Amino acid sequence: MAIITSKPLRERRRFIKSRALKRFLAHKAAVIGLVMLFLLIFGAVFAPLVSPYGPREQNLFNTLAAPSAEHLLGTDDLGRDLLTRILYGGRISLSVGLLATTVAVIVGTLIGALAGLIGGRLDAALMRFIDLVLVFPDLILLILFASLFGTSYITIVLVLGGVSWMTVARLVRSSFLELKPKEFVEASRALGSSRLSLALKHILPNALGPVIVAATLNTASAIIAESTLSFLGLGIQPPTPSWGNMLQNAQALISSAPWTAIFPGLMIFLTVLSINFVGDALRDALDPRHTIK
Amino acid sequence: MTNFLFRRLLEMIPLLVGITLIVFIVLSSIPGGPLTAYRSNPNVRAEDLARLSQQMGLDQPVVVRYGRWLLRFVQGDWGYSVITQQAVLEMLGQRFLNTLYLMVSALIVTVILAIPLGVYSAVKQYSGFDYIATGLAFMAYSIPGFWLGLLFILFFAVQLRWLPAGGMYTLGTDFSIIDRLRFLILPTLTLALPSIGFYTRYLRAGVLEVKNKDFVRTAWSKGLGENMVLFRHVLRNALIPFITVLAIHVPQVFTGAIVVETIFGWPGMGRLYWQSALNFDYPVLMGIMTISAGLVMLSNLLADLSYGVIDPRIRYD
Repeated sequence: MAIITSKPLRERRRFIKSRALKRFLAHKAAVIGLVMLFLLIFGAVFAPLVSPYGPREQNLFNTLAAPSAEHLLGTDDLGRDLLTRILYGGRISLSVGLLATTVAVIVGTLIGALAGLIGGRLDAALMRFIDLVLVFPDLILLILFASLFGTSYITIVLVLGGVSWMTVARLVRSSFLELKPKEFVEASRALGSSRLSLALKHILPNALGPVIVAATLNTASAIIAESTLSFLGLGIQPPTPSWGNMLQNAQALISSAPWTAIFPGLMIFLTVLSINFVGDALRDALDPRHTIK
Repeated sequence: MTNFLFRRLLEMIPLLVGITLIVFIVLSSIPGGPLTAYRSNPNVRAEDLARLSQQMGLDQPVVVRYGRWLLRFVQGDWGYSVITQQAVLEMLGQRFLNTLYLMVSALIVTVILAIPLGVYSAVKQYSGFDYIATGLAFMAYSIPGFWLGLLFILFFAVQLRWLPAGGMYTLGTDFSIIDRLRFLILPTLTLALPSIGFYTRYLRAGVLEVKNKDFVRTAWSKGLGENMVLFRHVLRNALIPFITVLAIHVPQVFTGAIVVETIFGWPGMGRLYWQSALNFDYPVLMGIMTISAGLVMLSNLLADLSYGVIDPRIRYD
């Protein structure tokens, strides 16, 4: 193994990395998106420092106030500061999106690796199962599971991850099928590597690029799915703010206080747009079949 | 062709049975069940409950209950709503049509707008039009549907008062196409816009890929006109993956329909599904899940059939 990690290969790796970075940075929108995401995460993490108000701090004498110097984005029907709730809501929406994707990647990698490594009947059965799951529109499953298993933070994360692991599973499986017959894997097997070390050392690293791209795009759709569920009353429950549940009352208030409908949704939109830009650029950067335009 | 169609339809049956079996098992774990209404009634004694449960066959294993459900299902008896006691099939009939009406109208708008936008962007690659169209497409694709619906209501219904904020037609008036269309516009656009974004990008990429193929160069060098090359050679080949994706997209459109129907008070199947989930109304859930699974399978079949129309190289056997 010492021979393989000799200097030329390390240099080659560095070359690949710098090329990927260059390709990524060529997408201006993605760089802007990355900055946007950084700002959003910063605002959510440091919400107590950024905002003088608390997320549940009501002021019933100042309900549905229009945006002003005091309340930059106005207040909601209980007189809570909208910007503050958006910042705190970002904690929920962003973390649910990231955690759900983590669940999806772990489950997807496990199932994909199992199918690819063992093959045969197990592979066929797992792939049929994926086909079965994909027959349902995802919101159908989300609504069903949320109403069955409840709407706590953890269950929402698990449910969102539980309906979105299929893409990763298929990607991982196909990289197993593609690489298993390759010479370097054969060689390593001939040297006595176990199946597990084959998978971890040689095959999974090769699947990393497409999985990262899929995970990025999955985060975007998980954030939309969480906000949709919460909007429908089957996600994160108030008074804990999430960008979705902040819009629950927005429809009733839309003529009297349009800002309550506009801003939380705008945050979802900007977040998802930023993530999609980043995902698009990552696809360009990490997929060797793509060439620089 | 007929053979192919027949075989594919036959293949759907075991798949549907498998799916409904799984759904049935999941749904039978729902708290409550058909005896909920009796359980909360203080006049119903425990032994009555046990007798009822036996009469309804609830003490049987889940597979036996599924078998009974399936037998009734194929005879058109889809059970009764736990909440309204209405027959499920009856509840779903009109609502299914309403949902279909919405989905088809959104699909038509998507295809009508996305094809020219995507093709023109690709033909004029790196032009101002291309940048604006792809930029807008990316944005449309990233908008959460329910928020888009709220914005449409805010601008077109509340502010401008051009269009109604919800419903399917003006209550208490006679049927009129103009009236129906006015109610259809906002839900359709809400449902279609993200898809338009997605397909514009998709089709642009497809056309760009075909545009530089050898057979296209040959067509140009034969001296064919621009329209001839574009429509007969480029577009026809770019459309095949487009149709596959359109079919794969049907579940997503249905997801969108749930949201859109809820926001616009559209009396469709999606909104009913949401309400039934909130009420644990499992016979209704079961019916809707079966229909949506069937719908998705049918759309896949439809995609397979349409390849042959567009690409004569594809044969069915």
